[in-house]
Amino acid sequence: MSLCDQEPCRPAGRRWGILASIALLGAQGAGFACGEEGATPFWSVKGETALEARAFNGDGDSRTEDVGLALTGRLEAKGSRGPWRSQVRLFGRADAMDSDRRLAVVEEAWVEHRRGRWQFRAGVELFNWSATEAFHPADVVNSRNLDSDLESLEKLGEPIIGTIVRIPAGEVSAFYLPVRVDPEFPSAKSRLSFAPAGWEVEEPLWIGWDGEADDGDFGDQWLVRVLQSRGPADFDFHVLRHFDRSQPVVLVDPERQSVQPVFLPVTQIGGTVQAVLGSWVGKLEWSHRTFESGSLALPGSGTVTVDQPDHQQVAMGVEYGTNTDAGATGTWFLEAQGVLGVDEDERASLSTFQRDVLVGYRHDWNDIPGRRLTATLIGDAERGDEWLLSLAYFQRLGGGWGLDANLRLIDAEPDVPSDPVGLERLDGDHQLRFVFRRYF
Amino acid sequence: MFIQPCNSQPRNRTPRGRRSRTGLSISAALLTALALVPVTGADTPGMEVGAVKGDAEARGLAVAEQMREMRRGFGGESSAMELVLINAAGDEVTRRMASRTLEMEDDGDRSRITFKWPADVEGTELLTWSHRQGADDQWLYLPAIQRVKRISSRNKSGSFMGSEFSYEDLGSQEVEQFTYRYLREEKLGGRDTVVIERYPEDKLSGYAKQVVWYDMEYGRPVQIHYFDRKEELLKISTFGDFRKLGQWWREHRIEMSNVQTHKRSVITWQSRTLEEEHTILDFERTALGD
Repeated sequence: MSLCDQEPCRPAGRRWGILASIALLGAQGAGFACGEEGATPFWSVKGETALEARAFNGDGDSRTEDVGLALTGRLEAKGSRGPWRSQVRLFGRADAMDSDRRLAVVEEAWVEHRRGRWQFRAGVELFNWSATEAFHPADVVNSRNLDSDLESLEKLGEPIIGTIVRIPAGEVSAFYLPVRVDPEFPSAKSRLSFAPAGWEVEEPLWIGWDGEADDGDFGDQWLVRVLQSRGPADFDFHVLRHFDRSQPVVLVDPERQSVQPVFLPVTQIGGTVQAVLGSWVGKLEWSHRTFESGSLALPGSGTVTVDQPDHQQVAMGVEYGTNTDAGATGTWFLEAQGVLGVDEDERASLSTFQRDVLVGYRHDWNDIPGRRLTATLIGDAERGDEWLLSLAYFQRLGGGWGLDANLRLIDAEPDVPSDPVGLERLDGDHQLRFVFRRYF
Repeated sequence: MFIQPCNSQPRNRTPRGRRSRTGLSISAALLTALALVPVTGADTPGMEVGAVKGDAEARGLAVAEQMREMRRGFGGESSAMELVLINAAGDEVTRRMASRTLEMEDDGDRSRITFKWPADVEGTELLTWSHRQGADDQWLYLPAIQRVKRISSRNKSGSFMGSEFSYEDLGSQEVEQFTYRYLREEKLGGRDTVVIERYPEDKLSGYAKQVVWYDMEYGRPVQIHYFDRKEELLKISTFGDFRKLGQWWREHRIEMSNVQTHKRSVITWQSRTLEEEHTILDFERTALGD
């Protein structure tokens, strides 16, 4: 029941970002090389390359790839001259085992003009609206690479134009986002796919603000955000009208063995709070989403209405730090997230983590190799039998090299084996991952 | 409209030194802590310890307050520094960082440290609003995820970048955060110094006390002994390579030796500039990552 085969599948608006970054890099290179009299050019570049190996426990299914071996690269350039600022950040991955996992994205590519307290920015932007460590109900602006680190999915840049005005102890920003950026979906071979093993994920459909299916690259989206610090607390509040990509309606086509996400327009208000109370840091992240419904003409089914229930999503937590005599620091985390205003079945369809609790501990040795170990356990307070255990270790290897090692265990046996929801889709997809990084 | 800490009196927190190009200055930079000492130059009065009367506690406090008064007016500072970590076997590892500091009228300084090396932490920034009373406000910027985190400044006995310096050594050293006791005046390395003890008020401090030798001419510490909570000598810092920047003396080398583990860390300044005209906007959380 895919509509995507009626037209060439488009590259999800990403070409706009790539074009912007190329133009920006070129313009900056030319401008900075000019070195006008009186100007103070500044141009810094850094990046990293990495060898990334991941292995899942064998599922005995020849349609999926249990082992991945990829090269990744990230290049970041920052420039400034007079009132002008710019930033470019590019990321790419090539996997030797899963060619569909190849990726080249523009995370950032913007230029900014500053005039007093005002900043005018255009290009491609990454937003980070998180306060909590594990659950991010407010941080939904950017599309994600859904075949990346489950606890911290990679973000894809969003084309923007807008302004930021600095106010005492805060700022107000307003952006228009004209391009709809597709998420990066796992391939049929990926063990992280939310679809059944071997099923394809079709190009997504978009419901426009008029309620009609729309397959163009463009759509009106905008956001306003206010940040303010008061005493020991930071407050953020936002209003966002965009095309939601975190909670799609999914069309299932058993005949073609494919699924197709449908993205709906949504109005979200939300915010974050971070507050220090002695050695404790309290965090709150929340959002309220009001979806627009739409209609789709599906072959064999006529016109159907697609909708998502309006709901609230709230995450809160605390963080507590300790020290050892050896100069190491330990940090305890306790967080919880709930999806409110909907019933249990709707919650399960909306979010991987519906009513979950996280307990975590991070130990920083603060030594020369910068050793750091993080352990987190997420359990479902409602479903009871869902667990996600994650261990992450990092250390420097010297000479600009670093090592990340991650172990993730998922135990979430589906209540209805034929219809897994939430984390159940990844039940048993235990993963071991090593990343050797070379910084430059 | 500026942030008021919940446990302090309302203050006028306008940045200071930009209106005082020729006044006394102070370099705080990354080592705001080490700017606790009054700044004296050839054309400014030195410390007059002998003129302070009273018991040892009153004399110690008077010295500290005199130092604070003398250091006012520095405005802003920019620095580039190198931190060398040396283990007991003599192996060395280098860290690099840059810092900016803005002096505030009636409160502690605001500082912004940017880590330059090692590469995995390059771009990480630590913003601190020091307060004369109560806990400092701190934010950490993580470039990999472009996130600004509010952090608690109470866990300050942890190691700074794996070195023998703790965050406490490098953080705010406001007069009100200690009680004092005057000890003596003596020659140290051929220079006239005054020696005082100071006791942290904060129960979360990693130290029971510190003994500080202040150079009478430089108006800066030249040596500090740090005693752990068991009141055993833990670390010794020595200050060197003093240079006169405008009217003010500044150290360009600090060595911290841990007498218990025999590890050492050395900070050296590649550049150090006083009377920088930073704006207050550069020291807000929204500026991190710029």
